[in-house]
Amino acid sequence: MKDPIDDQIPKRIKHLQFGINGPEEFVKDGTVEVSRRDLYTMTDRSPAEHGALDLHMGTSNKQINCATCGESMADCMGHFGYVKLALPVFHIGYFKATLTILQNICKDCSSVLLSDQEKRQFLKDLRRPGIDNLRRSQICKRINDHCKKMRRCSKCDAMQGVVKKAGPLKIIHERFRYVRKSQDDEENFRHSFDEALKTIPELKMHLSKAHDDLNPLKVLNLFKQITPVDCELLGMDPEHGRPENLLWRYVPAPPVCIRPSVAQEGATTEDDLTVKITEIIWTSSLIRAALSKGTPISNLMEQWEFMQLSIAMYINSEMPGLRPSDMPSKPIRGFCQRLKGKQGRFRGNLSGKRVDFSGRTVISPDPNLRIDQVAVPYRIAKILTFPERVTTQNKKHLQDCIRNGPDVHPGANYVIDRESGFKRFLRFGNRNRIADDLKIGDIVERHLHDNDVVLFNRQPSLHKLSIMAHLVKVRPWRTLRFNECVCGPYNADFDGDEMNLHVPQTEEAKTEALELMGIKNNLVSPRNGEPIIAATQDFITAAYLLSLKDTFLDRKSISNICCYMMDASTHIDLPPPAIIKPRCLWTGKQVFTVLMKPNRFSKVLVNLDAKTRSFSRIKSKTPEMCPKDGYLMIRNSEIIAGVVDKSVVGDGKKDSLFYVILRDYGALEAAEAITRLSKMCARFLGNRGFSIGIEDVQPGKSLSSQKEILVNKAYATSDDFIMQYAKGILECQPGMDQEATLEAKISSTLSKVRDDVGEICMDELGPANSPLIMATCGSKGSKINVSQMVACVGQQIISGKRVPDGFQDRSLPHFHKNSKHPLAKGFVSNSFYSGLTPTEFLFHAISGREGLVDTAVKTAETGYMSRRLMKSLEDLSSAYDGTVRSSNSDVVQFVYGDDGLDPTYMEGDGQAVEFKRTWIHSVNLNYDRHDSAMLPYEIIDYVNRALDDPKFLTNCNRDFIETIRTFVIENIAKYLASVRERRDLAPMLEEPDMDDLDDMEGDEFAPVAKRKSVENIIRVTEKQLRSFVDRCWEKYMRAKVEPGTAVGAIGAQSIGEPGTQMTLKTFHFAGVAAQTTLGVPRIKEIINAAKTISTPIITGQLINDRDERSARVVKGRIEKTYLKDVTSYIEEVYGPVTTYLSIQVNFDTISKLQLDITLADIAAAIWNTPKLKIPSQQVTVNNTLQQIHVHTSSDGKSSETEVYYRLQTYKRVLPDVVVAGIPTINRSVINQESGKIELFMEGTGLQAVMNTEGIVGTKTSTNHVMEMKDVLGIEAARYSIISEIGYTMAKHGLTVDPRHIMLLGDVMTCKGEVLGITRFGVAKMKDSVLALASFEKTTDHLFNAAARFAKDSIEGISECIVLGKLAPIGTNVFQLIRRTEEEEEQKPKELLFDTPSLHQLEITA
Amino acid sequence: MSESVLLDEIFTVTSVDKQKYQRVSRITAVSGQNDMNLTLDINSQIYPLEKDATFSLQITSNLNSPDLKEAADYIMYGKVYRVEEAKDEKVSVYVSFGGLLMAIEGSHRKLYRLSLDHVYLLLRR
Repeated sequence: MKDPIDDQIPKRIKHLQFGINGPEEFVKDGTVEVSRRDLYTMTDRSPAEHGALDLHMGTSNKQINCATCGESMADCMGHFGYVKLALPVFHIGYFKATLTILQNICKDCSSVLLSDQEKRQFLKDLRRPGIDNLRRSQICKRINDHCKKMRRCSKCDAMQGVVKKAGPLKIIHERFRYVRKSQDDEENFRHSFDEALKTIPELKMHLSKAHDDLNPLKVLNLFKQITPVDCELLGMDPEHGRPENLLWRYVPAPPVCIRPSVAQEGATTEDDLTVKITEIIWTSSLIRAALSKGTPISNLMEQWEFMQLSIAMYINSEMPGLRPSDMPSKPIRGFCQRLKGKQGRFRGNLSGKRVDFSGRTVISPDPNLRIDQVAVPYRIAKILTFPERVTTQNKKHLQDCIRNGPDVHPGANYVIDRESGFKRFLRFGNRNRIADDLKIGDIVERHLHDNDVVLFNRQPSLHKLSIMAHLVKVRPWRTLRFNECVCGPYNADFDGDEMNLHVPQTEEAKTEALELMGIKNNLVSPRNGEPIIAATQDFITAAYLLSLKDTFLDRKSISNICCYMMDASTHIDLPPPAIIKPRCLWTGKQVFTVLMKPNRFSKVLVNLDAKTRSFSRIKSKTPEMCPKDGYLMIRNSEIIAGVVDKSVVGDGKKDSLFYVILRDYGALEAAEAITRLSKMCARFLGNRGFSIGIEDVQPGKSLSSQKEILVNKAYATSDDFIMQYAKGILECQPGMDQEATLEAKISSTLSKVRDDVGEICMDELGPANSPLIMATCGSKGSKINVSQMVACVGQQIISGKRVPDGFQDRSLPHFHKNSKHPLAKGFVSNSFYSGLTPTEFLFHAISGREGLVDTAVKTAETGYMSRRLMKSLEDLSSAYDGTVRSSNSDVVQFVYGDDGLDPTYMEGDGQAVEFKRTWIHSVNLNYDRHDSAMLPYEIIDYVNRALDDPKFLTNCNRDFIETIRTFVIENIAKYLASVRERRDLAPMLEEPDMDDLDDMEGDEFAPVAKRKSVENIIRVTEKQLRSFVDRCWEKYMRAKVEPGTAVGAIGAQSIGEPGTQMTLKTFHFAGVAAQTTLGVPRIKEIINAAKTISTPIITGQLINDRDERSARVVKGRIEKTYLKDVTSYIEEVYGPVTTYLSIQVNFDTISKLQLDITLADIAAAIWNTPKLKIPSQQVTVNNTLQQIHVHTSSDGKSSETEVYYRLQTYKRVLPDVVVAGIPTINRSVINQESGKIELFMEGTGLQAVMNTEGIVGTKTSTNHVMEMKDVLGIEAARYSIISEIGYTMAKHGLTVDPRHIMLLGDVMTCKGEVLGITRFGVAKMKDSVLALASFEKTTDHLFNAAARFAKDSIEGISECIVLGKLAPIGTNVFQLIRRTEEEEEQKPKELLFDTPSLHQLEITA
Repeated sequence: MSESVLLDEIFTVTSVDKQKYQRVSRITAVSGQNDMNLTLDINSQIYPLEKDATFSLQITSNLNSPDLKEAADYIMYGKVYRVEEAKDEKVSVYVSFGGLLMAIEGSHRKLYRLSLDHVYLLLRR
């Protein structure tokens, strides 16, 4: 019997060990010493032995095999050689490490410059178990700081000075740098030059600058003397990576295959690396000859230096500090250049895989496809294959495919024999015989056919919905086609876009792709749970037109429309007609009843209330009676009222039709409904027609005249403002001067014109107007677009302001100087229909150009931001215990999002359940007039009992349980009680006593009309209540985040993808914080943890938040008050005895400003000014005259000129002395909102503001994250990050679930300090070398890892991708544990057929 | 009044609003004793009603009686979807006929028979 379990477990890489190879390793790993400069031999042009292209290192010629392994070019993986150097040289990658070690050790005896006690302490720290690389680096940094301060070696007492870099790859040691006075050591050093001075007297003047030259040979000898214990203190491993290996003595020559020669006719083009190797060999041989012959020292040093530079450029060709003459004319590609950057080895090859079984072509729309299908051209289907294993079920089908061959679809391309593994190409050979010989277990690589699973992707891939699994539909022609409703997540349009197709190659991969990436399972966005796959553009127009109250259909029309949306396999039950007599007519809304519930067997009963785009509330009327039919109401899949527009069938609304179907009936029904809608709408509109013509944008007579009136009125208002400004009587708005106030008022006046004209447009244009229909239902355009086409384009805004002056004092030379009239500042009063004047055209072009520049710049900016977010968050996933952990099990959050719920499944606004809709749904679903109604106290008892059930207490958090209880009691039970009370029935909120029944309060004695009336208004049964409670629980359980979910990657995408929808510019918002930074620059500031932000604003709550006078007092205390603000004049006084400045303080101004300062305070401010350096005794106060006198120095030695100039200096600086307020606050603004007054302060100084009298310190905050951290601690910084990002997103109308932002805030703060999402912050977050190398500073991280002997455990996402290992995330989270040695023999399982009692078939008559 | 007839009143039209749609008008009416107010959407293309016209309105739960269907000029089929309290012991009953809406307000003693259910509306001039 065959062994059913495969014992051959695939090998996996457990970890990577970085290290430094020494000469022994180079020689051992190498196959040949490269010692000849020649590349080829002269006679037969074959690669020279021991040359840079020696065949022992591999071959780049198809005709010649490798001399080491005998393989051909395609199979040989290449072998290393080595170059032996005549003299050691520095390694450019380890140069910094070399420098650090030299700073740490004695330059005579190589001992670490620490006392024995310090050594033991540091060693204990370094040897602590479980220490990570980050901690080790910090300890080594402290050791370096200690050693640099030591002046004498504790072992040999030699003097130690400064060790530093001097020119490229040169190190000097200024031994006597810190010598204060003459010492014996220095004297001896100076005397060593006596002999040289005799012959060269000019040396004497340079003697003081003499220092040790630490050349590589000297450094090598120093490093060899370092003891193993000291190696540990230097952060190195004494066994595997001693310090002397940081210098080159042998240089590896990489295999030929990574530096191949390009052969031409009689010549070859050699790789840069090959050329560099020959250069190194040549220089080394010159040095070796020089050493043996006794060449002068200067020549030897010159050649040594040249070899040093050659090897440095061999590694890194962008070495800084080189002289221009040393640089090659064209930059070469060293090893570092091949690793770093977007096209480098890490980002170009290791992290970005190149895949087989993929296709790419242009996309097209096809509304007849289901939303989970993609139409694949025959041409692609014949090339992409799936390896299907032959079974009894599919053998015949696969045999047919084999007979068809590669060129006929459905066919096959290859057959692989099960036993021999032989792969046969079906283009050749006898296909009939191959088909006949097919055996079970063989593999047939067959063409794609219908219902195969493929991955479909469009770049840029901004979120996980950019690549989704579709089912194949093989069709003719050349484009990939899919349903337009799926354009949203791909952000696709059909102006030439291309998309990629990938075919999974195993059954497991297909299933996993379908479950995790299928369209049906990704109808909503993980950013906040809003639907993203939905009707778009023409589908919305058609649905709107069909659902108008004005639409009536006879039987043949509605039957025809139902056939549009269904195929022949679906049974359709027409609903009863809305109008029975005089003629049977159906309304257009009833078509949607069929769309939701095609027949009586369907279980889809939709219950939904929603506002549409046309909704406007009328007082004292219920919302669905809106004259515009703007309130949608659906009960049990019947549309009660309302039109179907974008907010009903479009994306982005959680009270849309498809979202409700998805939540209540699952993804399958929702997808089916979307498909029906797209088919119906495409065909309905094709028959009905929908066109736009010139008459659609012609304004009527009354519209034109009304527009004229509005425009002239706005001009008059603007002129009035300009007049007030010219006279200086314009009252300033908060935080603005008069000019800014004028601009704000004119801008708002003119902006209103277009809006008002737009409203008139809406009323005047007929209901058949095409742009109006599109704007109303939301398929395309908006009211502003219609207004611009028909009536008035409006004010052009550049950088949040009216058009600036491009010429001297005016915007264009067409206008008067300093003109502020609307026409001179970019107001366009014409419409596109009536045409623009030349100046209007120019203004409009300026405004348009700003948009184009904005789009071009932001792509790179937001792309970089997204990449940084993804790199820092990619490892995070939810664990089985509910925590969020990184791949090495660091806990980042103890409960994801503080409640463990997945944002994808938030039905309400951040809530798992939308209670009101769920209640309406439960009531309508379980309405049965025969069930007995419940009394209020019975409702309360039931819900309390239900919520005490263990399934709630153990699975749901307390807030959720209390929310359900509150909803039922407050909204249902108490409402029922109040209705009963108004009908003279007992409220029954509490269970009645038996005695109360005698008082005739029971319902049995009430009139029938009252009881019936109450039940008509609200009637609750136990079945309804149970349905509601069960639904709440079920939705909550479904909303829990699943273990293994990549919450980090989803969070990074959810924050990064909206960034592409923001604009880079700051917006001009009305209000006091008008000029605060928003948009992409603000997000960038926050996630970079910027030390300085462009617009820091402190928000303070006032103790007295109703009185504006007290607000002004506090404002005065905070704002800076300069001396010039409270001074009448400053007078120079020259007297016979003394000379001084007399400052006359104006106490009227001080009292008007309500400041609390005295003359003494002002005097103290003067002498505390650091710039002036005035001693306190030179400042005197005269209280009688309210003057302050600032005297010059009473020193009699000063000359008259000096006194005069000092006095002038004082006079110039004194007016700007800050006498009151917080110096770091630029200004503060009083803001009033709904009766409440608060203070906004521009600047920093949170602590000082909190301590100001009149401010509620506990409710003061700033938008500066780093200041929050400094003043209030790390938890406040975390909260600040979360709220500031949420605020910035909300300002752009983007909603991101707070759980994503919380995760980002936690990642940035969980180490105890605020780490920005930058290359410096990420380096502190992550421990993995490969992850950091694939992010930024690739080569620096690799060199540092080698020097530190770092160990990478290959746990994170980046490392697993680089090494081709499965990442421990998602479906790979769990592990299977089993025994591989089975002691018991496997026994076959007993089958039911073997049981005698079941063997006979029973025949029942 | 037979069992299936839930409401039977005579109304006088007080206003007609036909500017919003071409085929649908919204009429408001009051009953003879002035104790009921009616707002109703009708298909004015096939059944126009003018101001000050008088019509008879019946709401029934079925059309089983043959006389009902014959006598009526205009019949619609729809659903009572909400009953709400109004002031002074009155209730408002809301009915939708495939999106054409009706709101009727009156004493709860007259309207208590209208429950959340499907109903027929019959108009006769």
